[in-house]
Amino acid sequence: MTARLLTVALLATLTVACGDDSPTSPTDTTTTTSSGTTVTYTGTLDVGGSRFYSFTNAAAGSVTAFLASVTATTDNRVPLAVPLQLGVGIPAGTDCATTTTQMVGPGLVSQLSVSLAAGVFCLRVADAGQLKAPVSFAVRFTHP
Amino acid sequence: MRARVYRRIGLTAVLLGAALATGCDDAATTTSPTATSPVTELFSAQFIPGGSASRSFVAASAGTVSLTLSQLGPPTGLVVGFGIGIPQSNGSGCYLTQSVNTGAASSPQITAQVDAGSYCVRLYDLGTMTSATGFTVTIVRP
Repeated sequence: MTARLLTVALLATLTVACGDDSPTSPTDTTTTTSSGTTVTYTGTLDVGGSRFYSFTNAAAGSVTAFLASVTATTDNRVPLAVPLQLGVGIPAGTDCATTTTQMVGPGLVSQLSVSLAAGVFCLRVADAGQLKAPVSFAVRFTHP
Repeated sequence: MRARVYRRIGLTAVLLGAALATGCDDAATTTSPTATSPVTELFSAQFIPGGSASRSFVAASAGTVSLTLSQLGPPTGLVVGFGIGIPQSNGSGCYLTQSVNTGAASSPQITAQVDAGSYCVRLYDLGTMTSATGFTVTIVRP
């Protein structure tokens, strides 16, 4: 009898262990896989402006990013070829103190790759003098 | 008597653990038919004047994506916006990376290098459509 009870308890425990492999519900803009967390960071950028997004590296590893889209805020149907500055750094007050930056135009392959420790970092998108009017942007980046 | 019960418990636990561990591993390593790269998909639908249509697809690895607007209309000679980008999080379309204004053609109007991940194709009216029209896009992806 005792053996039967313990068998049932063991079965329940091991079944839960298998269930832990189920994916968790991602947010609308974040996808987490075994190779890291992928975020689509979107926003608008004024002429001469900058925006940043803070994220936490769960472990040391590479952060990769590409500027996927730039469109006019008044018409998001037509992509613009305007370059923006992408950077990675450390949150500093109301800004992101970048340690690595790169001027990039829209593309669909990694344009910025940085090896970082575990901890809190930020991804910064900025106009470096190329914008004539506000734009909407989308950046896809992956971090550990 | 008690020693016999504990031996049975131990043996049952070992056998059950082994069986379930095998089950877990099977779930993690389930094999599926390996798709030959590149993969070709067709996207056929209709869109209305002033509207757009988009579809997401996944590049299983880094490589080249080519998109061909292979059929459009009637009417013949129609030109629409045709682009590639990444899917919007709410599923309502694409953040476009590049686009062209084009009619139907037999060779790719858009070719792009991509990382592994999800992407999308989008068609949109340039303000010239007067009625709903059908189209077919051929997507070739890694």
